[in-house]
Amino acid sequence: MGEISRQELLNHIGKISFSMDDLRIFLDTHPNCSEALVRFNELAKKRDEHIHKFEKLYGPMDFYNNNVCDEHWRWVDAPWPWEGEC
Amino acid sequence: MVRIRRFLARAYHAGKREIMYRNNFRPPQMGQPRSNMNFANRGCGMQRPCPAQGNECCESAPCCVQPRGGCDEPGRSECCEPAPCCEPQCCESERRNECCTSAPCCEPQCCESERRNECCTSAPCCEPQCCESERRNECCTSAPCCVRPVPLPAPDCGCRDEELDEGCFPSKHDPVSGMALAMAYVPWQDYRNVCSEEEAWCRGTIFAQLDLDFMARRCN
Repeated sequence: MGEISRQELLNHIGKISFSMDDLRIFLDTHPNCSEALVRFNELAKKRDEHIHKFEKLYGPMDFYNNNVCDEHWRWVDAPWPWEGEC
Repeated sequence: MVRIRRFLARAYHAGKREIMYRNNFRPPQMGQPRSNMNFANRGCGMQRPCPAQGNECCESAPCCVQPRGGCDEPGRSECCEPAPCCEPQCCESERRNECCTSAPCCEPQCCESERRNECCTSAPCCEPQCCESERRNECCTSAPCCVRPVPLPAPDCGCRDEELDEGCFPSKHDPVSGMALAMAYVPWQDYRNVCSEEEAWCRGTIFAQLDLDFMARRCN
């Protein structure tokens, strides 16, 4: 995936998550649509890859993963909301 | 000899009267009948009118029908089972005919509650007087139930030419014409025209058919 900025990576993750949200609403009323299920699983796999890439480069995206606290609480290393990064 | 004849004659007539008595025949000279009502003795086995008192003459004769004092209590004939029973005079409560199952039961005078005829399943049940709710006749399924008021016909808007005046007949071009009125319908969506993540982000939806123009006015 080459050099990619933190914000661009976050945008990619956001777009994939948005598509998954729309598909989730469709699957709520069409639970047996195989095409939609295949598409949802593809997006989920793609999202996991992007999140893994982001956390590897820029730290954890949430504090539920086990890479947050090895020897140091990595969650506080990312910019806080009032620091202008969000 | 004459005395013997008279004795025998008296004995004969006494015996004859006795037989007549047993046959439920009372000649007038035997005395006044127990009841003040005029009734005819038609003999055993025939229906008799209903004096105040019962017929105790002949066991095989049908018994009297009407009990004393009218129908305040379920009086019945104890002599013969097929004798008709009395009918209650009023039906303000669940009074019924207990004498004979074949006798018609009383009909309630009013039907403001779920009162019904319990005597005889074939008897007509009471009908509710009003039909503002789902009240119905529970006694007999075949009995007519409440009839809902017939709605008034829609006023005539005066539009006669359906071909020219669509203001009165807009359903001609309505895709959901034929469906029940005053109901909201949402058609089913098909899985088609799915956009990529980039395009979905710009459209606001992953389904192109849901990307509708915002008209900012009333749709025709």
